[in-house]
Amino acid sequence: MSEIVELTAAAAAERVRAGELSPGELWDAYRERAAGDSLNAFLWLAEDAPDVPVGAPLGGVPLAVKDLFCTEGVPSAAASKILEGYRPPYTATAVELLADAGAPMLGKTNMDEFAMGSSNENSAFGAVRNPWDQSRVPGGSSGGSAAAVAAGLAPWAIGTDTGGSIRQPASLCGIVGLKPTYGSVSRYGMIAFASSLDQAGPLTRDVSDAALMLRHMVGHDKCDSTSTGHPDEIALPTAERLDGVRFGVPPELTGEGLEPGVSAVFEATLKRIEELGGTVQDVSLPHSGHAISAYYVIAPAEASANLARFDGVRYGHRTEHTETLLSLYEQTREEGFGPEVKRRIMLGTYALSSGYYDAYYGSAQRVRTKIAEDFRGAFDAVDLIVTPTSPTVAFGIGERVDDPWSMYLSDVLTVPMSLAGIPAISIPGGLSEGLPVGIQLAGPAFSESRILDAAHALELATGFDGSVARA
Amino acid sequence: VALENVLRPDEPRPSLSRDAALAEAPDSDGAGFRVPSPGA
Repeated sequence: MSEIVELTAAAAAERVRAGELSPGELWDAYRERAAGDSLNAFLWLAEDAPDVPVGAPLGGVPLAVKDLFCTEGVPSAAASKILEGYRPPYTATAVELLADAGAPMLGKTNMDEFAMGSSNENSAFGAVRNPWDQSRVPGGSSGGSAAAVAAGLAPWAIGTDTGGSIRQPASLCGIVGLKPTYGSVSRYGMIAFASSLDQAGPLTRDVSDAALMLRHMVGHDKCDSTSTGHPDEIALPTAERLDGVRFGVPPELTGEGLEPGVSAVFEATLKRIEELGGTVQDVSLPHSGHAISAYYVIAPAEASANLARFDGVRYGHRTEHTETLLSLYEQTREEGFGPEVKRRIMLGTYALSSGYYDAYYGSAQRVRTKIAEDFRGAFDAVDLIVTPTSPTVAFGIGERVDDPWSMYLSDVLTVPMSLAGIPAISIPGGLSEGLPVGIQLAGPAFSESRILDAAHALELATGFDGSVARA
Repeated sequence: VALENVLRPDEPRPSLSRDAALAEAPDSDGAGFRVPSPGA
């Protein structure tokens, strides 16, 4: 059993293809691990082993699925009371593509309600614990997915990233998390938070697994009007060196505000890049300091519109106070949404209100354009941008809940890439006081294969050992 | 000036059945969603 759990997803799929491991054994090993979840990572577990198509490229390697993906007949609540018990009549495209490729759903994972949060403490179904230190948060919003993969409760997981919700929890849990180029993975069936930013991606134990999963997720989908597909097949990474690869370090994102332990791991990573033949130079992203401010206008504005659909009429929670239609709406939303969701709906509604639209949403969109231009300029000089993923390691459960701004700053290094729509990966760079520190690599739109290759070389040289968290 | 219609043909396609659409409704009369009177 334990030997199976030590295999990466790609290795497990390889063993199945070679006939050395049956999909049933693989399923049972993880089903048993997941059933023993003491981290509150899972909200729902599949009962029966699914039929896996013979010869499927992913070999039946079970997949943990973030609770905001709609899955037919299976609870899909985005960790919100307003959708508790909701069983959608259809399945999200990304989840369906992965199941068709041979990665059946093992369970649904906990998250911050509607993906709003950076610690998983905003879940209506309780906080998730970080397997490296159970008194600490796993990050968020894909905290359950990250914790499940880090703890070996699942071989890999699918999450979503709006401002860092894949990369930041991957960083805090010592695993790999990739946010693809906006549009490359279909958003159909994802319960929407901020539609111009939301993007699904892999959370995996290593870089090769991330590439393998992404290869089977991307593609144009006529059910998502912003879907672009991906111009190339995602290549499985092979690079062991970084010769000739130019890395840019933005001073705006690597200076003040970083924990000393995070800075130390980052500095060591830059040395490692040079040892592998890469070059490191400063590259300026002058508007990135405004990214969080712009993000906390744009994302809540879009959320306030997206979350208007939860009204107690067509699905989900309905209040008992149904005296009038208005009281039904108001009480249903009052009872169903948690405090952070309400905060963002109010912020967003205000930002979009008549007379303020241009001052807030319009200005934020103009800042967003500046940030995207900064990246385009930077990529004239360098191939990839490297930063830490999070300014801190995993913080204590309860430590930041009373201070939304300090929580928002947890994503200060990931939000700029989200606003620019570009791909970025977080890989483990080392430990600080026994806790993982993630390193983020970002590249131009659709440069996933290049990012994955560089991340692969860096991963090999780093030799990070995540097995502690699976013990 | 030569013009070309850029709209796709309007072809009906299967979509969610009424039963499936109503299955998760907190209240329904089998044909639609039921809500309290707006004027009550």
